Amino acid sequence: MSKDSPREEIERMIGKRVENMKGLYIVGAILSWVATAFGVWVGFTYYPWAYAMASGIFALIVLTVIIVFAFIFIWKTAMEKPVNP
Amino acid sequence: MAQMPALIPKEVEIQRLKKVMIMIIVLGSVAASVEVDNFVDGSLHQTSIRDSAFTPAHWWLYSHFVALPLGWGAVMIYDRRIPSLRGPNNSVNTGLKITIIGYLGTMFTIGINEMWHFWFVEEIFAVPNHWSFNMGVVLAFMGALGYVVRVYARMIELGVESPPSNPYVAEMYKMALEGKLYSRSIP
Repeated sequence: MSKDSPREEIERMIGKRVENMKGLYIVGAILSWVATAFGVWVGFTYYPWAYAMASGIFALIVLTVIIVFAFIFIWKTAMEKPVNP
Repeated sequence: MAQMPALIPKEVEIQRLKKVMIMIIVLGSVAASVEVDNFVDGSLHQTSIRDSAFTPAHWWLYSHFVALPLGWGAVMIYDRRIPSLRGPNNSVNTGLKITIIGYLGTMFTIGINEMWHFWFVEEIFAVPNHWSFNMGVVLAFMGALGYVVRVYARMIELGVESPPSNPYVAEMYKMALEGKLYSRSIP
């Protein structure tokens, strides 16, 4: 049997709370944008006959929008208080 | 809505459901990215034969066929901690099962596709080796939709999200909570 109080047991079951993972969300979004920008740079540097720089920039803008939307939804899911606590 | 028995404390279940939802958002944005690449790869193949499998559009496309199955596999592993998301007979959730089967089909197709393109260098969209790419992804998306409805319905029941005002949508969530994601007879 566990010697923890019910409150401690619940905290142990939860582990790290989603509200306390802000760093992970911010660093994750920045790293995914950097990886995306690197991929676009590789595309128009090594395959200029197929991917003009303007196409690459356009793709990067569209993907940036996707990353920003994902970040907003993640932030909302993690930080929003229950409507019916 | 139907009340599910609470097998774990409410607070714990809410936190775990939110973690699953965050994983789904990440995988959804990865899937949105591959939709963009469908146009990029398609436009390349309008102008070029398949001189190599190693084009930027293919790196972009194929990396998703690795990232998405791995991500959904991670969801399947974490999903075991949430009793209300279990499928029939305590198995994997039906929606997740369909998603994993869909992506397994897609991974299998990568090999089939390379064998085909060893002989034929065209990249016509409708050739048979591309069929199971599309069938696998559509199957996976259908399963993921069923699963996300199930997660969201449980979040509504626990008071994390607002219930839908449209009665038809409310009925859909009610069926999802009863474990009937696809019809009244198939669990």
